Amino acid sequence: MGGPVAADRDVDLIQGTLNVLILKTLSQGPMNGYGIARFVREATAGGIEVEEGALYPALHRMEHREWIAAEWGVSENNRRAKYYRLTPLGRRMLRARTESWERLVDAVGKVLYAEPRRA
Amino acid sequence: MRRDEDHSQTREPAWRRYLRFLRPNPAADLDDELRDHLESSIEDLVARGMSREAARVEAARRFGDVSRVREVVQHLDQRYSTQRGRLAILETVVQDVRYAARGLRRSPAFLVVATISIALGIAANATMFSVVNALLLRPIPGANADRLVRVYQNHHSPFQWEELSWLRDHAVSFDYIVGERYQVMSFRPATNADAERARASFVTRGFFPALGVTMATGRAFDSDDRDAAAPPVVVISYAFWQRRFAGDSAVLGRTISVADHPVTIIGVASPAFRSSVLGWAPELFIPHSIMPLLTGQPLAEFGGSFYTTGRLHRGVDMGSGEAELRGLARQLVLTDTARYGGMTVRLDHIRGVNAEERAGFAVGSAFLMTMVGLVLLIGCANVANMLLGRAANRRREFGVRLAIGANGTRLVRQLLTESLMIAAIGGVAGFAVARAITRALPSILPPEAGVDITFLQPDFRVVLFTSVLCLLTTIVFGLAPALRATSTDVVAMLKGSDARVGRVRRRGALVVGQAALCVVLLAVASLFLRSLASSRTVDPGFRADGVIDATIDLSLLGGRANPPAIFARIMRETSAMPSISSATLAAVVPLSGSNMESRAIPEGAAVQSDRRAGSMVYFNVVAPKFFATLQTPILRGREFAETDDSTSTPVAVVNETAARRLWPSGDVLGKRFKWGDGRLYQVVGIARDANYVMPGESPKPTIYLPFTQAEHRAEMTLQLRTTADVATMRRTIWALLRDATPQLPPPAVVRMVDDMSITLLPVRLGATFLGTFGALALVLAAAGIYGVASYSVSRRTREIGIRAALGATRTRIIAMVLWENGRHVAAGTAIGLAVAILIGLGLSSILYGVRAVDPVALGGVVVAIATVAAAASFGPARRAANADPVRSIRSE
Repeated sequence: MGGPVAADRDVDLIQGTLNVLILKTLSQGPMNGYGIARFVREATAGGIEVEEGALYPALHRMEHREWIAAEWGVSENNRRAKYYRLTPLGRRMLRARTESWERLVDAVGKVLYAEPRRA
Repeated sequence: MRRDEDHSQTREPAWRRYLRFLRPNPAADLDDELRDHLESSIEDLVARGMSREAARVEAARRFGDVSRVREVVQHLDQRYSTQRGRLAILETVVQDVRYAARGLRRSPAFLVVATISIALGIAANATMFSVVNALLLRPIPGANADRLVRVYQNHHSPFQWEELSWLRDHAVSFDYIVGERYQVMSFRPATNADAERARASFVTRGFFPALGVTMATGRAFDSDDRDAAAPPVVVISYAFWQRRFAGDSAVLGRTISVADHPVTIIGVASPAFRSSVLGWAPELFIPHSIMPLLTGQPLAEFGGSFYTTGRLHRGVDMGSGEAELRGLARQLVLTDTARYGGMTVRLDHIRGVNAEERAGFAVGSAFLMTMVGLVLLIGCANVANMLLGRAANRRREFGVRLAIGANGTRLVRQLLTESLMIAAIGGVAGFAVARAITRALPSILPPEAGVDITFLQPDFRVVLFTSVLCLLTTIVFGLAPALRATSTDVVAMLKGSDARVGRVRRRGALVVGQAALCVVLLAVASLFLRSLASSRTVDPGFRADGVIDATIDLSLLGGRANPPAIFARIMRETSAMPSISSATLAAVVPLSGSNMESRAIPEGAAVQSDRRAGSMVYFNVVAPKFFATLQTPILRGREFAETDDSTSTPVAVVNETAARRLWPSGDVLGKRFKWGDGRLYQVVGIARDANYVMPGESPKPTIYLPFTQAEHRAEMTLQLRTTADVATMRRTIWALLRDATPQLPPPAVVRMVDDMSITLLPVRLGATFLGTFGALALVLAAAGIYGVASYSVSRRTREIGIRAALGATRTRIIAMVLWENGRHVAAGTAIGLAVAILIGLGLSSILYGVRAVDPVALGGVVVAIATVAAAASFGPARRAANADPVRSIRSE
């Protein structure tokens, strides 16, 4: 998944997926950008290789949409760090997206694993 | 872990970090965020045993293109923040408006008084500006003004036909050059109907297309109509069509009679269009090619009478258009220097009135605009005053809001929103009033005046002007109170204590200002009113009552007429009528706005062939019985008689002043003087001084010459002393003229007093406008003074209570309150009087019979303002005196 970061337009699918991943990650608790990247990498065990920079447009977009909120804090190493957390709206979005994802998977699965028709 | 020094290049200077406390800095925030990501990543990798160098490379690889990410995210942030900014602004505006509306609804009395104060001022200003706009700024109505210019000869003169056609035929910078010549013609709706006067314009080829004027119905002239041999056609104005033909569409193709020639109506011009010259309202548009047919005069004989308009070719500016026409004018001059010598061309914008009238209107407009500005200022002072009072009552509310963290700027903005709403409501109401007034104005002028002022209606410029004015007034009356209301000490505000003397003093200053402005307006208005009154009572030296004027212009007949013979016949026949006790002719009706001046050189005076010899005198050319008709006494000698004709000795009547001026000693009767026509005139009579140029003027040396001997004039006014009314006389005179000269359009027949009213027009208009403004100012100032008095009484309730408790009488308390306002009003009045006297001095040239320091006018103003101020303060004063001292003392 090493597509171009800047191509705002042709990453709809990736973006949608990325959004769900970020929301899911943040449902664990507040995290900075790197923390989210690491979580996604580790949780998928390298199954999804996201270019880390691609997170940021998604993060900022969701912040503006108020799915997530950010707060400035100080990291362990005394750097200014921005921590994102899920908003109630984001939580609802995550639930909705998860459901529709499940429906999609279910539907696609039904097609892919369908028994040949008997009739 | 050590900080990575490599990143120091992205470190921002310390001061920028502090800037963040003031406002967010998204770019720096993003940098920080990305740096945190990369460093966390490197730290992570190093912790897993990677070398620092390798970790940095790996982190960068994992991240991807940093600068690109930054670019995309920045762009995104920007887009969202602009969106959010817009929404936020809209939201606060809506909130402020709601808040203001709520506040205003809670105090309807304030709302009504404030908006009326502003509405009156705005109405006066918008009305005046509509007039200024129409007279000075707006392109001529009904025409397409794009690239349209006025073409003048020399400074602002119209052209002769040959000049116009030369320029038109040779100029390449212009799509059109057209001329319009205005003249009253005789008109009959059918060939056998009675003749009427019709205002006509002779227009040259391409007139309507040049001005972009379309036809309401029918067609404009085409090239065939220009042929002098073609059947004569005419386009009529929309108003004439409605008035005279009831908008009947069958009028097209109808034959009417103009100057006793059958002419066919082919079109009706669009309703909005009047003329290429502002103020003209021709009813008939006639191709110039049939001028010779209708008037019996060749085109060359009309002199410089074509007002000329050009439409520049696209892309040509005025400068180059003018340069070309000047070159063409030089060529024309070369063809006949004697005839065209000295001719040059000037282009001018088509805006408002013609150039020669512009300066006069500009001065008058500036003066009246200043006066209405004062009215508005008085209204503003009222509102400012009330706002200060309101702010005082709302101190606690503001204090609470500030204390719980409301933003001071926001509070000011909310108060300004409130002010703006008042100004907006006042502005809309004022504009509506102005519109109604400008609509009603044309109906005030008598239709026979022939002056069109239907063009006064406000357009977008007036709307713009009014809006800007509303904004300005908001700032004038709203800003100071808003700033004061919110800049005060929060603690004091919460306590509700108000020991500020400054506030009362400030309101005192408002009263001084209002009184001063009001006095200026009233004083100037009263000067005009006094002048108008004195011009009515002044004895002009003749009696205009019972005299009816009919101005007969035989030049309209062209070369075929013999004016002396026709005039003699008219005189003979009118003198014989039983209802007419006396008939005469005069080249100039005294006090009608025109006059003639020339030089008379007494015989035997030091003849140095010097231009300075003799005296400049006013003169008039009259028929026998002039003095009898106007009832100006002949003090010595006689007036003109039938026997003074072209064959007898030239004679003259001089007035007393001319007699003294020309012959300081000796008997004047029988003396002779040399006149501009080279002849010697003998004085046969001395007449009493009479006004000539202005009513009440200091006596002017005036010489009267008989029309049979002096250079003959084709235009004379028949003056009849009669007991009959105007309508009867109009019929009589028209019938008489129809027999004498059938081709002549019926002359305007009016009472002499109406003829004279033109000289008083500026004074009458001034008196009307300024009287209205003065009355408005007085009402507004009364409201203001009342407001201040009530306020100061309410502020001093306790003090007054103590005084009452200590034994001050009611009268004393009333006097105290009256005096407090009175001294401010007195100070304002003094200032106002001083200013008014200065203005009066500047106006002395148009005011008759009054001086700038007119004790009656100024005294009246002082009495008026004093009365109004006392009346306005009396209510609050009595309230203060009647208050129960015990309750008053407890009240705070």
